[in-house]
Amino acid sequence: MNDTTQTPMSAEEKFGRELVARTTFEKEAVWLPSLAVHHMNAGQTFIEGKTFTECLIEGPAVMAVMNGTHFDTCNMGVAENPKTLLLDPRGDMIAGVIGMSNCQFIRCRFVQVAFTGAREMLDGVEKDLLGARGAAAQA
Amino acid sequence: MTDVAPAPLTLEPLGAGPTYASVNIWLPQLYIESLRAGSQVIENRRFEGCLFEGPAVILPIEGCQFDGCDLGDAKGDPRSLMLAPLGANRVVGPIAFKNCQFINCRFVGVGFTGAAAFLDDMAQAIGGGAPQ
Repeated sequence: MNDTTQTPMSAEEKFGRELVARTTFEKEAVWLPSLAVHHMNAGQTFIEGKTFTECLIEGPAVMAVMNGTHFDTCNMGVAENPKTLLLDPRGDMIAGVIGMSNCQFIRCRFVQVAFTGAREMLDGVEKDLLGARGAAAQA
Repeated sequence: MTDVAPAPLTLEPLGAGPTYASVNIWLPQLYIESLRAGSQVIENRRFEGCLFEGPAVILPIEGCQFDGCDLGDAKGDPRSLMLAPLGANRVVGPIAFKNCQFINCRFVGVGFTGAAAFLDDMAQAIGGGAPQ
């Protein structure tokens, strides 16, 4: 006999599923820890394939920048020294971070968010931040 | 700009402590509660038998003790739990703790950062990992 009884979905679960299914975010405040937990609850260990446009991305969080993730004209956070936004993983695995793969950030602003990943990525982000600061100083 | 993320989270407030016993603590929630109370640093708390959940990276900045704690699944390499700040004096993103005691606590999905000497001590305490 089949049991067709279904447990009603809570409002929180419904919201979480809808959030995970979304691929675009525009002009929104996104609390990164919450976004990550909803993905974990859905069995996704990292966040993939989303585009954030003109969003405020809030921590506290450390984002692991994975393959295909790009930042276009973003404000990465308040820092005189770009290195304060960067963390270097000591091991091959990284605990406590929010992985983001194939995500696009367009004109977003980051608050209380640090970045980590492969050494080449960290060097690239630092270079981009220095370049952005130099451009702002000349403007 | 709309604010869509925090609204549906229905978590019981953790409160100001300063003592927490056998409590499940979602670290971003603890940080937000501390921030709303006026401090970006979580200070002068005692956690006993608590489960700390991330995703989050902890920055013990001063006077923190870890006694009998399970710091997480290091996948055979204690350094997997550690991140080294590239900046010399300041770091953005991790959750800072000051003068806090962690006794018989367990950490899941949590990384640790701080000065190189602290990371070396933590790695060796976990599993004798070779300092970098």
